[in-house]
Amino acid sequence: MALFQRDFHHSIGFKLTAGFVLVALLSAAGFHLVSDAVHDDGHKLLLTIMLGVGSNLVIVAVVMYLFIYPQIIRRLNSLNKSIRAITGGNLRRSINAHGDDEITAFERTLELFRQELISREKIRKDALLGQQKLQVILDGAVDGIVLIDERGTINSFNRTCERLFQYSAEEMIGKNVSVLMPRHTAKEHDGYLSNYLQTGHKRMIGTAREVVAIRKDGKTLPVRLSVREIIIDDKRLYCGVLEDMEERNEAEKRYAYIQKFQQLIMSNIPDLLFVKDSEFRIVNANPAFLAVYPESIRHTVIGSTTLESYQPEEREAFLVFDRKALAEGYSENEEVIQFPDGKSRALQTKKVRFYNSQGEAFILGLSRDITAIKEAEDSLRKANSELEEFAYRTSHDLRSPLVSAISLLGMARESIEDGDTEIAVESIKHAEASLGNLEHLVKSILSLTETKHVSEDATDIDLDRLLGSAIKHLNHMEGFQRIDIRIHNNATHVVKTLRGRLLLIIENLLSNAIKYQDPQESNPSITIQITTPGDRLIISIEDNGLGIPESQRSHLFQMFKRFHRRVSFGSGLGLYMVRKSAEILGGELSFEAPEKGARFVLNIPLKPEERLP
Amino acid sequence: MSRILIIDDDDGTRFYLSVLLKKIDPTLEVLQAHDGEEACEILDTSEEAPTLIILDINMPIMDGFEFLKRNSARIDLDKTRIVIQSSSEEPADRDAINAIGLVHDYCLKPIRKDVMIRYLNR
Repeated sequence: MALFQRDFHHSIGFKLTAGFVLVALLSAAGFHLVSDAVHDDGHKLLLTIMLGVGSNLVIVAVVMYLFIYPQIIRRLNSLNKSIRAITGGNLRRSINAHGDDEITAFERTLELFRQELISREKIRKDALLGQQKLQVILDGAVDGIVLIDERGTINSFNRTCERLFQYSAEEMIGKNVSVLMPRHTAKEHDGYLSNYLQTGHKRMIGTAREVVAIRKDGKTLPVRLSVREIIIDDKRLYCGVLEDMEERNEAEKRYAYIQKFQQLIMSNIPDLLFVKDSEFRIVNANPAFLAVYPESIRHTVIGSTTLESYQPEEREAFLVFDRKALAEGYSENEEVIQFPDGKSRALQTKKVRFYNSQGEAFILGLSRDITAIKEAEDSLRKANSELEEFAYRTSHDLRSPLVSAISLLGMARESIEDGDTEIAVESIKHAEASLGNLEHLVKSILSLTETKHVSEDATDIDLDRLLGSAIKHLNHMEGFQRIDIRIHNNATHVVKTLRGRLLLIIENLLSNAIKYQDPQESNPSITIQITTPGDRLIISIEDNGLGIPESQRSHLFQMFKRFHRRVSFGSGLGLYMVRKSAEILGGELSFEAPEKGARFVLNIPLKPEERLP
Repeated sequence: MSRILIIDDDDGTRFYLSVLLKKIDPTLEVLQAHDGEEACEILDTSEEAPTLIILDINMPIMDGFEFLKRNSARIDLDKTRIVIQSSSEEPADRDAINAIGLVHDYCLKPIRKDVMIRYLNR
């Protein structure tokens, strides 16, 4: 039947058969030629046989060389080498199949086998790599991960598990997971597993719950456990993820503490603390900040910019430093702000940009109320400049009479030496006067310094008695007898203030009025008017004396200013002291120019203000 | 004959300066003013401007500064030497005084004899 196969002529069998047929034909032809040439039959036969065998051998050799060696022997050798390489593990040698004979079929089969081996090797390697990757992931996980089979046998135990339970993976793989459970749970666990397998009733799977595990040292370990089911090749595996509750609880406690601590700072810090988002809405603020707003609107502060009621350009002005902080990370400014509660305060504000965990920008603002500091600064600056002025004026005004006296005494000495007694006596008289002035000046300065430091309490004042004692103190003054003093006391309220201070003011003003009376005036007078409009006490003292030249009025209350010629010596400190005293009483002293003379008006509160020292 | 005008509110100083001047040159005519206003009156009423004015700054009624301002435009003072004498080394408003431009010298009280002679001879 093989004879009729289509490609039979390619097969080795056909080729061999054809070869032998060829040999037989050639031998027959050789035999026929030789038998024709030889006539002796005996020799003829021997010769024929020898020739036939010899020629056959030659032909066989030729056929072997031309056909059997390349077609069969070499290919078999090559196959042999390939088989040896494959069995030796070398899969790189590929097998080439030529032609269409039996060896080719074998070559093809062997090549297929090699390809199969290569792909299996690759799968094996991939699987190994996958396993390694998985192990890396498992070991890198923050949570503990355990894989068990349906009987509870541990397949995988990651590094976190090793740390949590103190068992090594090597110890645990192959053991039952109940090792990690307290005794009562361990007994039940097997039951759970079989129960689930039989009924499909899930107790643990898919949910997370807090359970207690046991460490190698026997200590309990609270964990949050969640279990998932994995089915591979019809085999059920369970993957348990364990979160260390102790760590988590600790972290939660720490977080709660930080929050509490932050709250503590926020609510106790006297500064105004607030957080604004990038739209300048207040998202958080401390009680000090909220206290700025009236109670009725306090609940609306968080979530608003608090600038909604302002005009856009005003709003922009308020936001300049918010924008700066948002753009540059920091801003700092000082400003005086009219607060919703009506008070105006000086605030020093620092703003810092920060980002939340979502990367959104916010501003943390810290405003310090520096109103008191500013006020103290201002009064200090004022006091300092007054002190400087005082020192300058004092040194100048003290030196003046002193220098004068020294030069006059020098002149007196010279005049005595020259025998000019008249000049000498005159010089000494002038020196005496200068020194008298100096003494008076020093006394005034002393009394000014003293009045600055006198401390007394406010008392109810009997104004009539106060005026009486002031006038009594002054009745020794030159020209006092000439002056007509009129008092109009229209006070309707009780006055409570610093008595000594008020007496000093009235005495000084009356003394000026007496001192600077007009000698030409036929009826020199002083009129004292007292009224109590509202919550004020107003005392006006008016005279018809020399008055104050208009050009000098602006210097009226300055130190060491004198305005009158040849009228008894003044230190130039009186009005300065009176004005200071009026300020201490919480009020003011002003000068008004009547038609003739001078009018000083003292305006102070009826009762001491809170800030009265 | 030289006329000298002393403007000072301190009687002792005026006395001292006038005696000093008379001692240097008994022929000198010495005028005295208690303050700027009096000095203005003297300048207004006298025919000839003084050759030397000794001026105090800190005075009542009209101080030295105001006096200078008031008289800064007077042409008859262009030959007059004006000396400021003061009790302090550095009068507070020296710059303002210089701006007026009338003043030639500053002198700390008291003016010594030799200094006064120098002022007179210039």
